[in-house]
Amino acid sequence: MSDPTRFRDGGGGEIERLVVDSVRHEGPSSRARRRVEAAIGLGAAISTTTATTSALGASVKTGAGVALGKWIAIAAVTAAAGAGAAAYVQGGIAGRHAAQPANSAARVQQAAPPVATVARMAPPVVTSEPVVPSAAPEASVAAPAATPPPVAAPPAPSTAPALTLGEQLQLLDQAHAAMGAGETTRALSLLDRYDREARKPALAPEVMALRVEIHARRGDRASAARLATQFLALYGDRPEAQRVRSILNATSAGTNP
Amino acid sequence: MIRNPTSGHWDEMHAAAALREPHEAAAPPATGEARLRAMLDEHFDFVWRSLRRLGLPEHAADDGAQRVFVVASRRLADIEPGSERAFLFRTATHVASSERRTLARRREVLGEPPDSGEGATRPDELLDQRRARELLEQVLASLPLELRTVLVLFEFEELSIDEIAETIGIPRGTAASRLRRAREEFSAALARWKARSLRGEP
Repeated sequence: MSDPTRFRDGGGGEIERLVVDSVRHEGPSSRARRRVEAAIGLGAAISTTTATTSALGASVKTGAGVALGKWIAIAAVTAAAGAGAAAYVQGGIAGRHAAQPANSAARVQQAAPPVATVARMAPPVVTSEPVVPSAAPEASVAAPAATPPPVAAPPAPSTAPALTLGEQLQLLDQAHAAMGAGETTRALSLLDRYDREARKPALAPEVMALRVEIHARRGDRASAARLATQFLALYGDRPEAQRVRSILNATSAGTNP
Repeated sequence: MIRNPTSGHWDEMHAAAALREPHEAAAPPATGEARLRAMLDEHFDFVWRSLRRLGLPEHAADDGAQRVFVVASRRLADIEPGSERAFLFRTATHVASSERRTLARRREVLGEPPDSGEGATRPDELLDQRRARELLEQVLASLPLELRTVLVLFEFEELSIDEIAETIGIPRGTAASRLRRAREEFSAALARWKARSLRGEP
């Protein structure tokens, strides 16, 4: 039995043809493609180094994930894993991990010269992107780039196994679902778990944006506004930024977002 | 009639498993990298368009495509040569469902309207590409997922019924009957829209 004639080729009415044809020329942008390339380690901006750091008082193999932007940071997760790097420091996003000191940019600068370099492309670039505090996301956000948040005591290194990307996605989805069900405390708890256990947090922007939403939903406008301000400083060009901005505007206006 | 297309189908669950399973992948061999790049070259546009036709707005399709290929990069060794497109599409189906749920929750939280048009479209306005696209998205969203997927693959990706059956992993007869029903429902939805708009209803 042969296939039917497609709508586009006259297999239906005029409306079918017009509607189907309306997306004939639609396609992804080259930027979208570059983002994916970077995310899977095929891009042109990933460099992984192995270094030692004395920050934790021990010799730790460290790769410097190159932060050329938010997606490049995600790319470092894949690249580091794919290249077999033992661990990596990811500017900004990875700094959320509880086991790591707050100022990862400074940490990278203090690291010993690279022992080995898996340089596929450009030389490493370390951004001065501010670090999002992990354990206390509602901490000071007034000048995140200039003043690192106060750290009472270095948290104990996590002994839990690192979350895979799939597990990170699952955790984020669970937190979304919990928030949707009105279980905001549980949603925050799931995000706290993400921060503790995602040693290579590929979804830090999404997690932060979700925190903003959860605080707004709880009616905690002050926390929502602080986190939203911080999010926009870090990830202002993310797709979530518009939503976060609307929450910030609503909280500033004293209305429910 | 708007039906919820996000119920769990086997192809979604298959891809969900791909997302769930822990894979601290070893370094991909050079051939793996070459294969990954070939997959990207050959199927990236297909994946992105599929995500759009499965109901994601453009920015979400960008994110979704990234998720699909990240999963593919981690599961590369498990993807049989020749079945790359099927793997990617199944994964895209799951990612699209997940993203749609997320978007719906965000709208619920923020009280944002769905990404629909700026008002009712009349038949004579269909020449406006943007309005035609909005109508297309509305009609596709009204189809159950198992019908939408075959319709997307046939009408937009121009796969044959045999190829659709292989891509989704269903018998050819099932693919053919789903396609027939999908086309009927698609045309019926457009006919209803046309009748409503001629009456001046939104």
